[in-house]
Amino acid sequence: MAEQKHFTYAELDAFLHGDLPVLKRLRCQLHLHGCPQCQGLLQHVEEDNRLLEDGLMRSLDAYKKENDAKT
Amino acid sequence: MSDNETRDSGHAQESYKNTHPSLINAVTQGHEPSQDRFYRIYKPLIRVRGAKKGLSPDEIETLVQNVMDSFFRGAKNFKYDPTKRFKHYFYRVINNHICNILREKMEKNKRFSAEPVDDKHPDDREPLDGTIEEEWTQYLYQTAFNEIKGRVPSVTYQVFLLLLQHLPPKEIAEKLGIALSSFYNHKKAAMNEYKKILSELQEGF
Repeated sequence: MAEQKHFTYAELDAFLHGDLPVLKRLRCQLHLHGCPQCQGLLQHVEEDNRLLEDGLMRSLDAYKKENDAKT
Repeated sequence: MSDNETRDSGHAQESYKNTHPSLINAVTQGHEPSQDRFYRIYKPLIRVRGAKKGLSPDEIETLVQNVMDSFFRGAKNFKYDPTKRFKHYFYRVINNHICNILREKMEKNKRFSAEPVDDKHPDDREPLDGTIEEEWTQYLYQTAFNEIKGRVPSVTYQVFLLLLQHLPPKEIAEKLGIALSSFYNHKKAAMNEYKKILSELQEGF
């Protein structure tokens, strides 16, 4: 039996953002249902996106607002 | 996907959450490169605290010198206790020096002013609250952002910068002339390095 192909971090990130080609997206969706390893990696990708969006982006936006208010 | 990728991603997540005292230990043992690094990274934080308490630019520079001086002198006696947060100790050192500067200013004003001056001394037992944690977190995020430029390839850094400007992935890929799949690989590389820097900055704190 052929070895099941897992998805990489980058592919799962693209999947979350709707940037996988249609067929690959469907395969990924099906694969995730039955693969705890990829489900775990997907959670890490989601955490990183939260760090980026809720953490760093918000912090830099607030810093920029503060600086714009001072000038 | 290799097992390594899962492990590396997981490890990066764990090392970001766990703290390691190696920087503090190196500073307390008088390791000069570590002291230089400590000074370079945390001087802005001291300046931010001083500015928030209304110190003048000259007073802020005095504050930085006093805090670093007392920290490095006192660091030899400091024993890292993993049950306590070093950053609370560090914030108290900063707050105490701010109070000293403000107290001296008030005493000076009292001597030369004809107007009655409020005798209430600043409370140097100001409790450290949630605002400190928030300020600390924001500071870490921004400092790690400032550090990342020299640690990733140019394209990776450009991807990271454009992401932070809220541009969508397809637009970033087009702008940089790279494939969308490449964009996601660069993003992953940038995030891994960013989390590594955050973890280093949190060492001992």
